[in-house]
Amino acid sequence: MNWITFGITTYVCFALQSALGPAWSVGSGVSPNLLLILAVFVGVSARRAVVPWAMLTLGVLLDLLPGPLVGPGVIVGPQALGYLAGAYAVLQLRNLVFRESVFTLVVMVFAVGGFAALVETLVYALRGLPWLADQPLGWSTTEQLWRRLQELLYTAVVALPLGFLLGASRRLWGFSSRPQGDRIF
Amino acid sequence: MASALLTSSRVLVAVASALAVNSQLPTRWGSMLGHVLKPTVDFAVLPVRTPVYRLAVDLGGNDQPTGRDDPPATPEQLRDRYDAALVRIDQQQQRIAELVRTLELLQGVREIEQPDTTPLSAKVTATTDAGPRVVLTLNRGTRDRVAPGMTVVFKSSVVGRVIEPVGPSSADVELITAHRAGLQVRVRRGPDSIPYDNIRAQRGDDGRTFTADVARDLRIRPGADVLLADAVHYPDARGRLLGVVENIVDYEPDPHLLQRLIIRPAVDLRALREVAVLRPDPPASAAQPSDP
Repeated sequence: MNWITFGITTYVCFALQSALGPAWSVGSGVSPNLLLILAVFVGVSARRAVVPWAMLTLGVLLDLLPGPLVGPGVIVGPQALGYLAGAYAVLQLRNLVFRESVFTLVVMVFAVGGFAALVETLVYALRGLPWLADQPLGWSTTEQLWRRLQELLYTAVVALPLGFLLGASRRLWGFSSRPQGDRIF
Repeated sequence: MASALLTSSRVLVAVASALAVNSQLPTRWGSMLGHVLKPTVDFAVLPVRTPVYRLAVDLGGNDQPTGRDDPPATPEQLRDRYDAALVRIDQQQQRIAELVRTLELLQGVREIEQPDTTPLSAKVTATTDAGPRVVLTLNRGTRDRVAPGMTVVFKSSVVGRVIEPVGPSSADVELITAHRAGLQVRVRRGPDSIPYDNIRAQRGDDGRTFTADVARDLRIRPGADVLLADAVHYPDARGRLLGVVENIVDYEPDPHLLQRLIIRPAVDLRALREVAVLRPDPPASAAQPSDP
């Protein structure tokens, strides 16, 4: 994978992610996650060894956006771990799908995003345990999962046009047609 | 070298373990890495984020009236135009009433004794809705002497408070709607009536409103102004507008004795372009240069 292309695309997606909030957030502030779409695109197409690192980078960037912890502080970890779990999921699933299809991207966004959201919510929920950070969030886990489900649905819709754009730029990414050592089944 | 690192599963496991530990540390320790990375990343994306945010606010805002149309050709069109003009007049009258109310509020703010502050205008570059709270990112930081804990306002309304980390050219503001502890407020019924004091407002369940339980015999109507009067949490924002009473409902546990005010912020805090950070003035002795 071409890391320069990855860096530029990540930069643009990260800048747009929070800046576009007032224009496209719906309901109770639900907005799509562009970095998740990018993560899945890379996860489906890039070399096996590269995928966890790329997704970890994107997860760390998402951790740097304001999170659900009320008050000061930016905890790096929950989203990064979630995306690492997502990387594992995408590596398991990608051999079963047609990688260059936009619809694959949409379905995988839903699956991988689901894994990532579960892990992230779990990590935040664990902070409330008395023998760990002992800082309960004061949130309802069910509500948070419901909110993330809404975000995933929205992201999956946005993945359709963005998937076409990313697909059109595939040559710039330097993905090999079939990663070395990858099994088909 | 880089390739070897990428293929090493041990390095990946070590990084993941470090992140797992970091995510379970108390905020004081767990946010040390974030305090370094976040200002750096905010600084890097500022050139792209600022214009995009302005565009997004324009797109998400209300429709602006277009230019003058052609003269009406039929009586029906004339009637429609007349009706539309009446609506616009009504809107303008409401606007005038709002401006008068803002003026009164500003006069009220001046009358309250509070710490001396100097407002610093700042542009909003991003809004992040993280579920339990909403955070605005500003284009001002430590270079402009912005520090955590400073109050942020928009005209006469309270927006929130600056939180850590503050970068050289960026600062996050947690909206006041995320404030979990109660706030002392004052409810103004009208320009000529005595306000009700010692009312405690709590964060609403939806995270977008406040609620206050008051006695039924208080004659408060929807539309009444709710001013901040909290000397503990927001001492420098006392007298500023927290919101307006949007609705009044029965207090479920005791509907015969109490009623619940639903208070909504007076402005849409999620679509602000520019705000003001209230910086405390330096003490007079520090401000005046010493004589040689």
